[in-house]
Amino acid sequence: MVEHRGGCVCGGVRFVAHGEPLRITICHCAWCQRRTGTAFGAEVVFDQAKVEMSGTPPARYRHVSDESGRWLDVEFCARCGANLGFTLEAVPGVRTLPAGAFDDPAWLRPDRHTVRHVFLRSRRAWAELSPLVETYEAHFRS
Amino acid sequence: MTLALPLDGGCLCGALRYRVKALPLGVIMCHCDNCKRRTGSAFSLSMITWRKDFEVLSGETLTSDNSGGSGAIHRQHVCPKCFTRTHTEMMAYPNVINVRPGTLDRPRDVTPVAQVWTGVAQPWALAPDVPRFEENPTDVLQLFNDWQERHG
Repeated sequence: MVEHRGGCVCGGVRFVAHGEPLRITICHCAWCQRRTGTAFGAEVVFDQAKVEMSGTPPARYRHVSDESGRWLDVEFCARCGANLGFTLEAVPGVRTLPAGAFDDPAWLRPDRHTVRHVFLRSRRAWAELSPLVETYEAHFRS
Repeated sequence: MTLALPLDGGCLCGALRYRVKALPLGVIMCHCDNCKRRTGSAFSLSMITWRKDFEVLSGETLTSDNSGGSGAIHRQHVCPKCFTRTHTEMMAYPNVINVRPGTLDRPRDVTPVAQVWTGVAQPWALAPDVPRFEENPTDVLQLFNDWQERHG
């Protein structure tokens, strides 16, 4: 089975994901802009059982959504502070890994994987929307 | 668009708050692999601000040093509770602070003047109308002038 490896900036936390992701979600919500400091979050969604974390255990911050009231546990490297993905109350059994944290970011391809842009209502006007990517004003579940 | 000052921002949990009191130098998108890993996203945004115009209003920061693509030390500042990265000190340029504009309370107010390291960009993350540089820009001061004309 194919493996995709990655980790944080300082190398203290490493991960390996076995097999292909369920989808890639590019989230333009205001919360993801603040979380990443950039224009959107890009999270690769895997079946939780297919991801192994190693090294220093990640630190965790629990956010409760203003809109849904549900929790989201965000993980970080406690040393370098880099994002390491999250788990969500709303979607049990899956975890995300940040697209940028993979050793080979180029393996993520809209022609091979399901890639969705969500929360376009708060999108930065200059950000690209690839024609290969599905788009949603809010979440694709809503 | 003339930028309304000051520019306030902060972390996700609200403990760390900052203020930019005067017009920044400019905003640049960077697609390099360091920035991908640092943000977890496809590119970073850097809002370069004079240090004298930047103030932490509340909260402590946790710092960590890493070397950028050039080998220069970058000191990252994150909130110790929610780990949001609000700003970066670039040790080679002590007079400026690199504020992360996604953490602004009004992030839509600022737009990037250029995107750099497009040679390694995620093809789905290139901004269609923002000038491109395969690697570092040739004349960053000119880019900053262009940005300040747009926002000043």
